[in-house]
Amino acid sequence: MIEFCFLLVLFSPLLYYAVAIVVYFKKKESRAFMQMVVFPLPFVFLIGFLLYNGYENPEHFRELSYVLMAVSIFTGLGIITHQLIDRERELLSLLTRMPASFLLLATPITMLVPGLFLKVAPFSYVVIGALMGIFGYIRYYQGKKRGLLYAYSAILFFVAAPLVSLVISYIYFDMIKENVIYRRAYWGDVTCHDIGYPVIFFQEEFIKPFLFSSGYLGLMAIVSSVRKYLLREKMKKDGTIPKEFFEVIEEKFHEEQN
Amino acid sequence: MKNKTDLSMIVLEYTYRCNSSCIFCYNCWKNDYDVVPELSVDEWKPIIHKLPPVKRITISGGEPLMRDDLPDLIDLLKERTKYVSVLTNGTLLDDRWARMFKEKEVFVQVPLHGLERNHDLLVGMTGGFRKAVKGIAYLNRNMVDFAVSVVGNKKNIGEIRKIFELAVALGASELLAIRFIPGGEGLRNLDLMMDAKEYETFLSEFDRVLNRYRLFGALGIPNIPCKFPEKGYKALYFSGCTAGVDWLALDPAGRVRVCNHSPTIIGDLREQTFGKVWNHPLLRAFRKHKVVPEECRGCDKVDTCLGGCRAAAQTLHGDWKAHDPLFDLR
Repeated sequence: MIEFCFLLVLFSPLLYYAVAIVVYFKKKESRAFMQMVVFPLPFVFLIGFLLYNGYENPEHFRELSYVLMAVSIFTGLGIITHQLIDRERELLSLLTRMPASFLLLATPITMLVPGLFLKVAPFSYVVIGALMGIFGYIRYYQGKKRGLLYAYSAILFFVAAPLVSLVISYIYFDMIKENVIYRRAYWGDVTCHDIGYPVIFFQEEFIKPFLFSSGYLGLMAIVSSVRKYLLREKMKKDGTIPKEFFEVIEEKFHEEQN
Repeated sequence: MKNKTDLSMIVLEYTYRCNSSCIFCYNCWKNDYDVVPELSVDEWKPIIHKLPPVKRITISGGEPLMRDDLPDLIDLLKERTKYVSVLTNGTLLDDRWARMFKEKEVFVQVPLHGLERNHDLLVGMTGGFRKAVKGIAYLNRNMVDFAVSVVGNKKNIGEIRKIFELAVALGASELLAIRFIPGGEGLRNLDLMMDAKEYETFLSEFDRVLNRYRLFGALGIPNIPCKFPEKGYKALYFSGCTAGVDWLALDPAGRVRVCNHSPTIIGDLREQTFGKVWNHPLLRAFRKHKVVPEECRGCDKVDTCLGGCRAAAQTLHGDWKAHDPLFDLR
C-alpha cells in the first residue's frame, strides 16, 4: 500500500509535466506551460522531504505518503472537475489558483491524523511561502495587480512571522526546553533543534490560521467557477446570451471530435 | 534605445473609420478636429522606432479591425513592447482574427454596453450585440484573453448588473467599467450622464459582480474619492489617471495627445523627436500635478486623483483645470 502511495505521489508531478508539454506543443500556450511547470515544484520538494525522512524514519514516510496521496487525488479531481465545467480556459485560470486549492485540500487531511499537522507544518511553511510568492508573481505577471499583494504576503510570511514568533518564544522561555526535546525527537540529530520552540509556536499560531485562510481562497476560487458555469447556463436558457455564441463554441467542439 | 522616461503605455488610434455609431463615442474627430490621412504601417515604422520601450501599447480607433494591415502593425509594435492589446467593437471578429490574436499573444478588449436591445441602441447598429457576442465566442474558441468594457450611462444603468454578469458568463478575464464622460459624439448627448445615485449604483454593482465571480476589474475613468468615497468596496480596484505622466495617445496620423479623450494635439512624431514631445509644457505640468482644479491644491490625494478626468473638464469647459462633471454631482 505504501509503495503504491509513494508511486502515485512520485508520478503525479511527472504526469503534470507531461500534460504541460502536450499543451505547449499542441496549443502553443507558453504561459500555461510556465504555470504548469511552476505548480508541481512544491510536490517535488515534498517528495524530496518524504524520501529523506522516509530513509531516516519509516514512520514519517508512511504518514506523509498518506497526505501526499490525498493531495494528489484531490488535485486530480479538481482538474477534472474544472475541465468538465469550463473546458480549457477555466482550467488554465484554475492552475494559477491551484496553490490555494492545494492548501484547502491538504489541510483537513493533515488535521485528520493526530499529530500529523504538527509534523508536516515546519516544512510546509516554507512551501506555503514559496507558493504564495510564485502564485503572486504569476498573477502579477498576468496583469492582476492584486498578485503583488500575494507576493508581498509571502515576503512577510518568510521574514516577519518567524521574527514575531521568536520574540514571543523568549517571553515563554521556560517552555523552550521541552519543545527542543520534542523537536529533536522528530528531526533526529539532523537539523533545527536549536530553534525548537519558535518553530512550533509559529506553526501553531501562524500556520494554522494561514492554512485556513488560504483554504478559504481556494474554496472561493472553486465556488466562483461553479457560479460562472451556472450563470452561463441561466443566460443560455433565458436567451440573454444569443445562440450564435454557443454555435461557434460547439463548432469548435465538433471540429475537435472529428 | 534605453527608456529615459516614465512612459509605460501608449494608446495608438490606428484608424478614424468605424462601423459603429456609438452615441457616447469620445473620439475627438467627431467634432472639430484637423483630420489628416491615416498612416500606413511603413509610415508608422520611423515613429514607433522613436518611442522608448514601453510596457503596453493599446491599439484603438475607430475600429482597428477595419484595417487589414493590423497584423503588420502588431508585429511592428512588438519591437517596442511585450504587451499589445486591441480595442475592438467585436463585430468584425471572426476565427481568422481570433487566431491571429492568439498567435501574436494580443489581449483584446470588447465593449458590451447593454443587453441586446440597449446595446444596439447605444452603438447605433442593429445586430451589433449579436455580432459582438459571436466575436467573443471566437475569442473563447481560440483561448484569447479578453476584457469586456462597459460605458455606464443613464440608458443602461437599470440593467448594469446584468451587463457585468453577461460579460462574466461570456468568459471575460477582466472587466472594465467606464463612466460616460463628455467628448466627441458624447458632447451632443450629455443627457447620458449619470447622476450621483446612479454613479454609486454603477460602482456598487460592478464591485458586487467582481467579488462574486472573483474577477479583476478596474475603472476606466478615475473616481473622485472626496466626493465618492472608495471605502467599503471589496473587489473594485480604484486607480488614478496617469495620462500625460506615464502614457500618451497617438492619433491615426502620428500626432500626439495627452489622452485619447482630449482633442488637444501637443506634438507630431512624424516631424519631432520623442524627447521634444515629451518635454511639452503641458506634459510637464501634468507630471507635476499642476493641472488640477483650484480646490484640489493641497489635497493629499491630488497626485492620484487629479480632481477627476482632466480631459472631460477640458472638453466640456475648455479648461484643463475646470471641474470634471462628476465633481459637480455632489
